[in-house]
Amino acid sequence: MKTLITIFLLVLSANTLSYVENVTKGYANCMSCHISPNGGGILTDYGRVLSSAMMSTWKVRPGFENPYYGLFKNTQSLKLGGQLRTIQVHAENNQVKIAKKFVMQNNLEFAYKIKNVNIVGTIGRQEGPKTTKRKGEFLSERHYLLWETSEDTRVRIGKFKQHFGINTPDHTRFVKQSLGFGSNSETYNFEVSKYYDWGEINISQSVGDFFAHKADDLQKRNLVFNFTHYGNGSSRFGTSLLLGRDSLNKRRVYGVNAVSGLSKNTYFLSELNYERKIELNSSDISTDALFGVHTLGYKAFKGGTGYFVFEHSQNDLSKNESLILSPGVGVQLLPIPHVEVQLEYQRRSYQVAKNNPEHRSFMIFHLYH
Amino acid sequence: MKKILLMLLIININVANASKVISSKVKFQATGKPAFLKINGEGKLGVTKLKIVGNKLIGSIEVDLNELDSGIELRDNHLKENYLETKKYPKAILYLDHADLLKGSSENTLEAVLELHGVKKTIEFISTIKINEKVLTVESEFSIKLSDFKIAIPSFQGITVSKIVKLNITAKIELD
Repeated sequence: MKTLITIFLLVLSANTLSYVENVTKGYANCMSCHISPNGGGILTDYGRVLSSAMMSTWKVRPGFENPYYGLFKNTQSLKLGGQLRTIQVHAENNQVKIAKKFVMQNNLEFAYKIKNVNIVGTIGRQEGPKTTKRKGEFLSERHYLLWETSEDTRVRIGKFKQHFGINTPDHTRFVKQSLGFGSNSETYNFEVSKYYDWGEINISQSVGDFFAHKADDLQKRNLVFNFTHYGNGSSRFGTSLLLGRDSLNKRRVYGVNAVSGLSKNTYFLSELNYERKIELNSSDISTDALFGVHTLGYKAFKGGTGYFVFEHSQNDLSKNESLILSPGVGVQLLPIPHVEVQLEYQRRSYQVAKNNPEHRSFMIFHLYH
Repeated sequence: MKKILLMLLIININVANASKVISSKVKFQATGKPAFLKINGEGKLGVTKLKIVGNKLIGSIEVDLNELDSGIELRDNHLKENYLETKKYPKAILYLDHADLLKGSSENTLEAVLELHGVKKTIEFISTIKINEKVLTVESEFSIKLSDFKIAIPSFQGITVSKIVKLNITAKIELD
């Protein structure tokens, strides 16, 4: 039975990412395509059509964009989805050479709507490299109730990733990981989002992860404010504030972000976050950090985008040796609906070992059913 | 009555020849809810017949609705087939029968008749007009209510477009 479930989950899976660059096509927020107000996860019917009509190189056949490549058709109240993401990573410098291949994510997702309330949940298993804790165990990344209190207001309660800054797929961005918004950073939260013609306001409070193993639970509690102004249909500019604490520190994070269409096929994504962390045991000891990620992309053809990326982090601004600079180039291909291939190379240099940069490359194969 | 007919005849004679459109852009923007999705589209001016007589701008401007492009083929087809019904009504025409131009000012409030989807309706809008020798540079912005032109509110897979659509016309036209 276990084997059967495993095989099933390997074939069918959940959680979809947001393609933030669609902001430049008039999609100022994620709600057109995703049931989650902040993007990611299960798609709306409109989102499914868009993946075929706007994002993929080839259409295959009518209905292919439906769940599980046309095997299922969403109803008015029930939406299904799934996600499987695998990665092949290669990293090397003068001393070390690492090559890994593993499943990053594999789960199923459903959304069931009763009147104005969506019940959303994923079932899957913990994935990751061999060293991942509890690899292979049952994992529900998200489960929440989303109440559409009006056409432009959403109230959400349950387990999901708190919204902070630009909601890109964070799995490969180390600067988001450093801020605590990487893979498996979902917590139990209460969230209110209000949308206007000019922008959006989003406030959320996390109350931790009720089912986290005691050894892993750092008792993170974050209060997050996001304010975003929509541009003229091809851009958005935002600020974010996080007031948080865990069992070791309290912290504040101030962020600014922008997504802008520079021309019909060129876009720019930028996020810069400043963090001040204070140790709970000694209020005299504080650390200031700065994290940023910037991307310049060019859509060469439908379903084919090339980009430059630049990530930088300094987790202690008083210590120059903590500086990491990581420029890179990448290609994102969406050949057919709900199939994505991403290749990226980064040259990551650590200030402490300037003459020994790390060459990192990865290839992600992603099915979002 | 005879006078009016004679005036109309003179106007028609005056604007019988098409003006040369040097450059033009017709933009439209509609908002889709619930996601405040901005649908931006573009087109170009078609046959344009404009003339300045005294302080009046007279003539007509056509837009070929089949040329409208919002960046997504499926959306364009949906808009043209189901809402604008371009097979039946392929053009939108703006008639300027007596648009007074203010002396010494480039900003003018114009009154015109817009024919869209088989319905004619008088609209008023602010237009920036500059005339340099025979070249007319114009920028106009106005909004229309879809129901005024008997166009159904477009809706697709849970996204419904707002009742008001913003239009922006910029053009450089060589007058006769």
